[in-house]
Amino acid sequence: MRTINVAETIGKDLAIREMNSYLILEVRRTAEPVLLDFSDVETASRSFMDEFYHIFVSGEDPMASKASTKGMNDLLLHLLGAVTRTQRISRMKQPAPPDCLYITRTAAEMNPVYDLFK
Amino acid sequence: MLMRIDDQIDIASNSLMESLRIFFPQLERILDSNDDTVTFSLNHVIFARPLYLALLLLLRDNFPKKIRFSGYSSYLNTICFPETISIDLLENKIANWRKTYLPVISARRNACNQKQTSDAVSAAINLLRKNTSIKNNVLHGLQYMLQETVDNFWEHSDAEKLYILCQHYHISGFTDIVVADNGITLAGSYAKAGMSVADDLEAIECMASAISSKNRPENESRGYGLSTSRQMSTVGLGGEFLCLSGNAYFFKKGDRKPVFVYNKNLRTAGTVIALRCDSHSESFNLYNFLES
Repeated sequence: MRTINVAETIGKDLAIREMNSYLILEVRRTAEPVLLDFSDVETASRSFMDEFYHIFVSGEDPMASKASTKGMNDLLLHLLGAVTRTQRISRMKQPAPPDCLYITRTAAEMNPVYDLFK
Repeated sequence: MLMRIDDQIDIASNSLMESLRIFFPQLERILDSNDDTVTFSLNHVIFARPLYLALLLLLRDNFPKKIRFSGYSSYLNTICFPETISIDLLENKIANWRKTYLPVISARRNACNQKQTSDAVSAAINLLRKNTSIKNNVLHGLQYMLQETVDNFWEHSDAEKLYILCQHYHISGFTDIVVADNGITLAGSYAKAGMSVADDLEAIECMASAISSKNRPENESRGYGLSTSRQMSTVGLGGEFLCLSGNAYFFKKGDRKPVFVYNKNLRTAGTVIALRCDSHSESFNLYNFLES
């Protein structure tokens, strides 16, 4: 099994969803099973973790069967847990109508809006 | 012909929206004028907030008229306004930085990569950790919100340029973060994803309802980024959340009801997300908001 140090490969802070593509490249390059080592990763965004879940955890992508993970810190585990739990929750299809809407034309007509939050 | 805007700028601190109270009348004057070049004289800037400065930068970059700035104050010089610091030079620039505000950070899509953007967010947070008394639990929240908003730049905006501005106010304890891009706006992003939205207002309503342009029929797990950031900044950190996209604006403060505005004539370029947080919140816990 080949171990990939995620922090060395893509960084300690994983803000961008598409940063997963670097990991995909690394895993594809290897014929043997891969262990993704998150030990030195400090933070990730929910977007990054959502993509990671779909590619490496959920089983939707064949790559999931080839990769396992270790060393995620508390934050990363919480994010992965949150992403996992919210996958199939049906969400709103149409926007809720706003309770408080101002239609304005001029800068002066915006003043009552600012005053609401003074 | 040359138009000169020479206002005294001293933006009140009580709300993020005070920047709009100054900016929109100036934008209106520019729109009403026949002059093809506008110079903002910044000699009389007493205090400019990050949101106001971000709007000026977007105006310069995207407005059909030529927009110039002159006569900078020492504060503006210090934060590198209007030239900004590119994210690839950020590390050197801030090595000995001792301020509670950041220089204005800029990223160009064709001149930087995602890792550099991600690292810039970390550098910004580390700077706040080093130079302010913001508690660690709050810094985790700020980092999360900043990461999600810069992800939108790469994922949704199609923008060529991104700006990040940040200011911590020591006395009030608030921290303002602004992320602005010159992209296709929320409406453009939904349209590009094949989702029908009538206008900027409906697009911002979709954003407020956490409807993601990346959702798929079998997977509705996306759209948490801005929704979670809104909850964190307003409910979790007792602050404000503001989104400007095209002609539509969304404001939320604390646990009050959100306000939507559609201004038929005053349009901002791209999408601007502004957050204000109480930096000393003892009880804030990032984990409580990850599924909201």
